Amino acid sequence: MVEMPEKALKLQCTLAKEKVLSTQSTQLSYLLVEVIPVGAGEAERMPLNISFVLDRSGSMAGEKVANLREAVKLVIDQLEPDDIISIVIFDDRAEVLVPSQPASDKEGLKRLVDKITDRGGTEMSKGMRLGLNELRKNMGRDRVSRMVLLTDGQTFGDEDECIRLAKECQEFGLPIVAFGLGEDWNEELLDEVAGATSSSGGFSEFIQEPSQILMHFQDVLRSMKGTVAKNAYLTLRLVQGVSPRQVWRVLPLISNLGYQPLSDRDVQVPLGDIERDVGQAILVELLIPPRPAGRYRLAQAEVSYDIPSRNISGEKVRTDVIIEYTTDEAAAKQVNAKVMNFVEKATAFRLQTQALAAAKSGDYERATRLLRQSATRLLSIGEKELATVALEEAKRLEQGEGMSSVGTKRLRYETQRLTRRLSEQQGQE
Amino acid sequence: MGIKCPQCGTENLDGALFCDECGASLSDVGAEVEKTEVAPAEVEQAQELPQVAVGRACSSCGHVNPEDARFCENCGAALEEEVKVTPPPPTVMAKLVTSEGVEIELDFGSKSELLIGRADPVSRVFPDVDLTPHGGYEAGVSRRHCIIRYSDGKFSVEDLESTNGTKLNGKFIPPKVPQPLNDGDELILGALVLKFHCK
Repeated sequence: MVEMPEKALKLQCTLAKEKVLSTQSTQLSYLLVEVIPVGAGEAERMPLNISFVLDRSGSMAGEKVANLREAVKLVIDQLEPDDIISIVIFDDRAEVLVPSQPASDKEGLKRLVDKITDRGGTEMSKGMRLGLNELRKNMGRDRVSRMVLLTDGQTFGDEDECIRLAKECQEFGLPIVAFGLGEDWNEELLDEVAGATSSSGGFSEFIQEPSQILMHFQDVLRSMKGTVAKNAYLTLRLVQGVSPRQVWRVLPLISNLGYQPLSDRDVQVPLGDIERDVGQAILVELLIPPRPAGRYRLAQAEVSYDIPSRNISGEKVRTDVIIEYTTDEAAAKQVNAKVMNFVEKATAFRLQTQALAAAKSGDYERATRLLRQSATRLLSIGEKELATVALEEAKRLEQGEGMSSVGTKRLRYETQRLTRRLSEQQGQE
Repeated sequence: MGIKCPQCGTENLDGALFCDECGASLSDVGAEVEKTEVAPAEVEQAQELPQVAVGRACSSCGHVNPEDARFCENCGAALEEEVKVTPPPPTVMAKLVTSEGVEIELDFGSKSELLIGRADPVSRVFPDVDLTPHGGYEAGVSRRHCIIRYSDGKFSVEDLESTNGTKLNGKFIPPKVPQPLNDGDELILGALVLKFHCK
């Protein structure tokens, strides 16, 4: 018998309720699919291809640009000689400060970073275009690539071009991590730019204080270095009568995922890169039909992925999702605590998203109500500070003041991190 | 059937844990949350199913399933009774020892990392290892001080931007950058001295 090598990923499927009542009606079932990296240690490191696209407009003067320089220099210190780096700086023009190159001459690179000073206006698309060009010079499938975009202001009339370039990045499977610094940037644009690459792992994030740039850049670097598998897809093959209602990503960040129905019974979710220590978790709401008592398969879950460094392409792991229909009412009341926790956090995220949308469309009454309801959920999961922000914003709306820029941004970006144990709690220390 | 939300009156599907409309918890109405998490042993191991379908007809719908299928691919009905249970993975042996010689077991269970800090019911921080009984508060240990991680047979420690920092063998470690942790290493959290041991 040939011994099979251990697979790099493990799939773990957990239902909120393993046992449900054998009723006459359709029920809602929550399925948590965890993609967990196993084995494969540090030796599996994949070389990186990182491009910084940085706003150096006049508003970046002082503390912001100083912190930015230090954060980029610290990243340079931590790159390996075979990692590729490029740096683009933009105001109303854009220039390639560091053309795509191996990070071997660290001192030389850091001297260039020290030349970043503030000037001019903001035209982000020009910077993005040059960043994409530099990334493409070294974009092998064996490299982990990211565009790290940072801006502190509104771009001047080139929003459509920014979004077009983001879609181009997505075609290359290139995630954009977009950081908005301070209060005066356009979160809808950054969300759309990063969101265009979300299926490859792109996301947007709020940096409130310049001193936090360093920490966020370290996060990006660590996530890139921790990549154990690329080009991952989750496929759920549902049995007859079972249909999907909602698909959420809950780790590493919470987002409402679109899913592609492969057919009326199959659901496919692109996962992008899989990161060591974090993996990914997907929460699926399934509508399940009435059944007589007994054990049934609801679905087969399958994840496929590539590991270019080991020449593995399209490797698959599968597992069955089994549910038991029972007439035992007590047994059908048992809820798995871990799944429940993810459902609650996704609910808090959903309420907050709906509240911001309602506020934007001018329905302040609904927005106020949703903010209060999201505060209830946030309190229940221990996010006291964020709950307070939601309540304060609700009060502002009620008094006709409109939501604050910082409050809106905090709710929007911190709720996506509810499932991560990160430093947002530093204020409590 | 269905569950009526006690808050806003919206009818939700059976099985819903939170109201579709207002997000209120419905679990008090219909469910009890287990106190324990599912052990990994109860989860089936991933398994390749062969592509070719060779004769195993489902008794409820007649669909022909692969030989080793346990549940019908079409309707999901059980084709055989028992699901295999794999033995639990070997447990990791590690501990922290205080300067007074008190041993704190690091019980990883099914987790790959443990949060070390100080329990605080007010901000609802409950670390896996609570150092309050070992003088954590007086020594300036943060609620979320650091993480000890176990992966690929190796331990590492990562400071979580704690207020008073983490020292490894006498040197401050940079926040949020995992550092390898070996048997006999000394950790100082704030002013609390701990020895790390593992097997």
